[in-house]
Amino acid sequence: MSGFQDVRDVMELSGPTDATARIPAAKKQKTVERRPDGITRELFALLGENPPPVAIVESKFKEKPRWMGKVNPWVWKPFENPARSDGLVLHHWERKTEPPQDLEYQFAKFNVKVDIPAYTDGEYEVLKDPDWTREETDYLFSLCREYDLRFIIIWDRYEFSGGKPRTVEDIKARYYSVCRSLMELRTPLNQMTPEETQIFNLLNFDKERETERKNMAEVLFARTPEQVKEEEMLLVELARITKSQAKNLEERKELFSRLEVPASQGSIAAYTGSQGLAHLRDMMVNGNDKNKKRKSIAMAANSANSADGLQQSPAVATSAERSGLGGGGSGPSQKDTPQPKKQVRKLTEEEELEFGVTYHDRLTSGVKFRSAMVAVTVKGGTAQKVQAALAQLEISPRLAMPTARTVRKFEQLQASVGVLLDARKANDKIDNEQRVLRAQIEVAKEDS
Amino acid sequence: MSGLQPVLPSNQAPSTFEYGGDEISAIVLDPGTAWIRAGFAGEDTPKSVIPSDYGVLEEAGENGGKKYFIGDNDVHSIRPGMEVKNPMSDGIVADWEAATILWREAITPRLTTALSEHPLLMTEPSWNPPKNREKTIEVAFEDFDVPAFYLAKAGVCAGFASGKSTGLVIDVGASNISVTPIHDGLVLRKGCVRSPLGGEFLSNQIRAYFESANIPLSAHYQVLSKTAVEVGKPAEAIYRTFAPGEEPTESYKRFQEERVLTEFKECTAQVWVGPGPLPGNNNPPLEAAHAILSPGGRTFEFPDGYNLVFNSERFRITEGIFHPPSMLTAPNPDPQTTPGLNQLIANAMKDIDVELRQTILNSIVITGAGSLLYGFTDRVNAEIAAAFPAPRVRIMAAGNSVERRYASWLGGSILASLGAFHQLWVSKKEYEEHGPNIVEKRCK
Repeated sequence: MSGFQDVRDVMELSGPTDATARIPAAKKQKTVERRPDGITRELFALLGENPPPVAIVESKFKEKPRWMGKVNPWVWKPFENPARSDGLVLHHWERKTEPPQDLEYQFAKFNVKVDIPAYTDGEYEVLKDPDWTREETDYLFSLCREYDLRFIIIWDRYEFSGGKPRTVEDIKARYYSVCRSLMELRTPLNQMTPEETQIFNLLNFDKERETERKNMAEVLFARTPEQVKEEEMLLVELARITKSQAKNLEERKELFSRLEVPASQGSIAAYTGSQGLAHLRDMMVNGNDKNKKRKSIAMAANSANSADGLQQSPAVATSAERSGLGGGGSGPSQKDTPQPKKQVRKLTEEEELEFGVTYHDRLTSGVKFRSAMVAVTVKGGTAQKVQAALAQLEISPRLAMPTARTVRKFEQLQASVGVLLDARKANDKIDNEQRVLRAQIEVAKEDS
Repeated sequence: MSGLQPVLPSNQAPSTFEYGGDEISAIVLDPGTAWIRAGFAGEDTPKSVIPSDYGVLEEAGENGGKKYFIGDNDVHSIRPGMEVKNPMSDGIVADWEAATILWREAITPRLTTALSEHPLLMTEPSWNPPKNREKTIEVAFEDFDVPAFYLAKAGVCAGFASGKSTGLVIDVGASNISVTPIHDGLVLRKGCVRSPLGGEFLSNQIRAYFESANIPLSAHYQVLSKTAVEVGKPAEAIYRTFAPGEEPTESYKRFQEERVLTEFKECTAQVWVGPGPLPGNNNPPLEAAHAILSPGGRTFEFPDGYNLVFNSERFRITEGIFHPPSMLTAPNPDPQTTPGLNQLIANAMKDIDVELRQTILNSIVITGAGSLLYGFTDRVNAEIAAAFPAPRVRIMAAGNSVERRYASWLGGSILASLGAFHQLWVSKKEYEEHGPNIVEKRCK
């Protein structure tokens, strides 16, 4: 209990110091959760009030098989198949308790036959075809019945003595034309139900088209390995193009969304006076940072984008103002750029050097070291190469005395190292190409 | 789907509609040149497999007739004067008397003693002539007195065993390699081709190679005991001697040698995987081929203990299957006119409707014991891919050697246990009404 008292003292808490005087916490409602069987008391206590995180499998003996149950007998039972006409009796095992299935053999329903139309002698007069004799047509229909219209099988087994060789298309065309004519003969076209008309139209077999399609399939099947490879390559190329096309479209869309300028609203009358212009300039200068990105694009697209005068003038104005600012202080009413320069005394170069006056294109706010202002003249991968080259020449990347001149010189050095590196790269490339071409010439010479 | 259904208790049979089966205790008989397979329909392996080769002793049976020795135990016993014969020729029955006895022996008493209670389904090769088919049904109804009979094509059955009713079945049997295109469970007759380049051809190839390389071939029965010898050293074995007049016949010797050759095929022969034919084919620069083919080689020990390491020869003996000009047994069969397996496939595809070719090439079923040669399926795959670059080729070859050997029996077993099949049986009554010719009408 001393610990408790110490804490109270440290916390400078007043009140009853007697530990026993504390109001006892309201007794928690005891949860009436029964401990499952497969878990020890200690482990269950650790779980707290939450339900066990995993399902607990109770270890239990397997249920006793019910040996005493009555065995369900099977009987070796004769059955007849209604799909057969000869009354063949076969036997199979059946449950004795099952209701008798003798009424109908359950597999009999699979005995399906295709309905092949038959024609009479009179009807055949209409079905005549100079290419087909009556006998051959009969033979064809018998085969159709026998092989359930599997035309490929029919063609495979087609052996009509004295007949000419038939293709699958010949067989199909004859069969369908006979069916069609027969249908028309029995029910005139105008008396057909919609279903019948549909079937009638389906029976229209276009032999020429089918033959052509099959020829094409033949050509497709007989592709050489080279053709297959080429096809694969073209498909890959197509996939690549479609993929990059989506990307290109996206990029273009983004660009357009940036180029989109808000339409000018209201008149420009408010900005016509010098006061108005000054106000406009203030607005522009303040909003400059925000517009920086947009401006560069807008300028690039100036010729293409028929921006209205209002949009154009701020762009010009901002750049003008910015150069003016660099020159140090400009009158608020001046719009023209040369004017502020006239007002200040023109320093000679020596004087500028002497006084340390420098001009900057861009000034960011805050104090910084000049060494940190070394402009990066080379970009990207070359920048690192330049760094490496400088390190090789034992020139520190950080200038010991970064005056304006040394910084400028350092920038120049960086730029020229970059140019030299680029030149070397180009040179290597050309050398390589030269070597390859030479080798090719050698090979060509040997071949010839 | 099965997850939704309650688990069926073990004492309750599944509904027949779940698998479409209705077992009528039919017997399936698949007679081949090397083995006769028989068993009950609905089972996954034949219960009774006996060799088609049988021994026969003239004037030793009852009433001075022939005495037959059938089955593995009997045919391999040494009996003076016993000739070993085979009723099959070119995959079809040539000797009906012996075939009938063999078939009966395969079924009774191993499967049943009452043939009249069990419908019989038999398989036949696709080139079985109508005369033979009629004779088969005659044997079934007159000799065996079965209640119902059906004759199914072995190729179709092999397709069924792989679950395909449309496809190209390549069956490497003992007498033939046959290529059978099937569509909707029916054989496409125009595309059925075969070539006598099966297991027997391979045995002859090995025999020819042994002869050319002066390798002595011994059979197990000739050797009483043997001692281990170094590779290539002559055998030191004690051979069995026979009293004059007690020697086994020449056909028996050949049959026993054939067993050794079969063993050689199983453990030493290998198929060159390709691509392309075996290097150094016609004029073998052996050293070069050795280097390309196998640095290791495989040892084979003959029954008398003589053993050798085989290198490129392992490939050379099988190459004739794919590239007949490189066969060693010339002039029988003729290397110039006999089509190799790739030629067979090309021929089969030529006579098939172009629309079907794509489908058929997408389900190629390889079956037959000969296809168990090491590298066989890979080579077939390479050859087909080279011959037909455009369509997608898919080969189905059972990984299980039992399924590969008994595929046509297994397909027959599936077929005869289907409830919807029972309408197709040719019943005894129908046979009596229409005569043996009914087989042509019903078993298409």
